[in-house]
Amino acid sequence: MTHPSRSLDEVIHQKNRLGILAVLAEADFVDFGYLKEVLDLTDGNLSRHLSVLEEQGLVSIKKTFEGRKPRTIVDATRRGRKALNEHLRAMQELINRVGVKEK
Amino acid sequence: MEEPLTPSSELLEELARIQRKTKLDVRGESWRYLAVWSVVFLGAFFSSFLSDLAGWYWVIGVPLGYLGMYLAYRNVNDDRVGAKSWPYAVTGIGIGIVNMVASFVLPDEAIVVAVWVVLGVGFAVLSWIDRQPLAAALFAALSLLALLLGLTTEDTFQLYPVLAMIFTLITAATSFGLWLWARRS
Repeated sequence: MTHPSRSLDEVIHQKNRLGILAVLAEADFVDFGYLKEVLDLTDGNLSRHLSVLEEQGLVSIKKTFEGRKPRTIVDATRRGRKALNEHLRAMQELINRVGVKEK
Repeated sequence: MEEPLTPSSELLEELARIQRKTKLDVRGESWRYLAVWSVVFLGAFFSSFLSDLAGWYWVIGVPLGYLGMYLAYRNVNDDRVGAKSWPYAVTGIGIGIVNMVASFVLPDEAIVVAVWVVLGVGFAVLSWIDRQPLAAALFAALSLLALLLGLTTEDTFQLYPVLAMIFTLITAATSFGLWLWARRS
């Protein structure tokens, strides 16, 4: 049987990227500003993490305008939602295994 | 430079906290539509005592319900985060169409039960879309109860106010439960 640590996705495992996907899992669309506020990130930092996730096909980013104001809407792709679930499952399994060994 | 890794258990707790907050921001106001419709169902209960108006009640009640929802949700949602509104709209329209078709093709004694069966299924679907599995199960059970009562009761016209009251109470209680969840989270 494969050790759960092998199922961990290195792209997703980074704390902020995991946070982004966790937020997107609960909503159908999320504004850039909302993500920034909830995850307590700077514009640059959030943009960087979103680019990484977009390159991997885990999120989709749409730039729109609300009046004259630009707006960035982020959504998790089907692949992104699946990857998050698999990653969380692997993490939980890993924690359980370590917990058993500590006893 | 990447930030240092956080221990997995702490990370999972933090993720759960973030997801709770997002869920609350997206679905924390779901109690409102149930509160509105519990009032509409209560209206159906009272209208059942006015035999000439019972059938016509829905012609007024449904648009009033939609108006109530519009007023209840005006300016309450954070538009930076949310769920797609079309699945709710499609389900709402679907409930209306199915009940309208049923009112043309079914005899009166069947319509008085069918309307509640359809509403139960419709609200179960709405709750499921809203990621409220308990509420979805409750409405599905309510729909089944209406169907079973309809099949086993001879005078279905007497069943109508009973089902209206059951739906009023269950919808109001579910709304209150969701309101409580939103306030306590």
